[in-house]
Amino acid sequence: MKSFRDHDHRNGNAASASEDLKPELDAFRDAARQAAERPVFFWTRQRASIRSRLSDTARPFWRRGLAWTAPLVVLACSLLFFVGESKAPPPDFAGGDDEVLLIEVERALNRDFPTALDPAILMIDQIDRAKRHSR
Amino acid sequence: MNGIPHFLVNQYPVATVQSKQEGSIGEPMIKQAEQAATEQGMGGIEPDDFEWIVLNHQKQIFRVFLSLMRDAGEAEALTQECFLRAYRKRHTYRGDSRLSTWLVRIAINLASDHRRNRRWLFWRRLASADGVEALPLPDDRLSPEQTSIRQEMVRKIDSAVERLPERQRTAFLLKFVEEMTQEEIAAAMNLKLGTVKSHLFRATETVKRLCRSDS
Repeated sequence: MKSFRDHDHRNGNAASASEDLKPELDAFRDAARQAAERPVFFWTRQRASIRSRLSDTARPFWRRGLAWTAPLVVLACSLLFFVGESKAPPPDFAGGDDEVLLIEVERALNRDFPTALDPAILMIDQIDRAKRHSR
Repeated sequence: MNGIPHFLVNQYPVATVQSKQEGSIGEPMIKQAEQAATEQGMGGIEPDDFEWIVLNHQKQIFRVFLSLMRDAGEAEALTQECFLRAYRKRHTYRGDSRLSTWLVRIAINLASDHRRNRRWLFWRRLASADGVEALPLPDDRLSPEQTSIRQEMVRKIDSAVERLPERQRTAFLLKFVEEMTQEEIAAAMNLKLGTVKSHLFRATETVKRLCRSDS
């Protein structure tokens, strides 16, 4: 019973304390509310921002993933291309043989695709072959 | 569906709602949306429909963050985060409490998480060097003398509230700024009613003592 009485006493005190401070608390409440007032465009802009972020959230995972996948594939292809290019054995022109240089240039011009795409061409050939076999 | 909550389609013709805005058209829609969310929960709500909820509560949530964080930029960012979190956790709201109480609860948790963030503390300390957002008090209806007295009152309460421990401060602000009931504060802070009463008692006593000693 004592604890209940204490509790009530405490609540009574809390109420009386806030009654004592009523003018201050009212002023504080008004000031806090006034501080949070913003023009209409602020709320509109905020809703637009929330809407846009919600639409992103609502998009299926695979579609969100796709947005990242495309640039990653392009990056990977570019890297492959440059790495492939750098790995090609440099022609030996040290001897200053013009004929060797001309042959290399002619070979490069006759190629339909860069050397780096050789694995892709091979893969396409295999797919074609597999299709022909299946027919 | 032109942004009309699906649970309202049978009650309001689509053509009556042009855009989500407050006023004669928006208000009954908001009330109906609130009622439906409270009765049926928010599990099935779509992002477009959720905007009605945002429209109705964004001011209160922003105000709660501004009171708790004392930084308008933080309050704005956290308000957005609060509604995003509410949308992600919408299945957990089944109408057990008022929607506003549920949203304030999310806001309190977010503010608490954010306060723990060390980076934020660093910026807050930096900001406190220049003074945190002060509560403005321009009121044309008051004389300069009255304005000055009021400003002094608010300054005293404000500095006393700043010195309260986190939970007491939150309970105090919800009670005296948001005018929430003790039961609502208990639900929002996930505390027992008795604990809330105790926090409020201590907070009010401390504020009273600090205000009196200040004068």
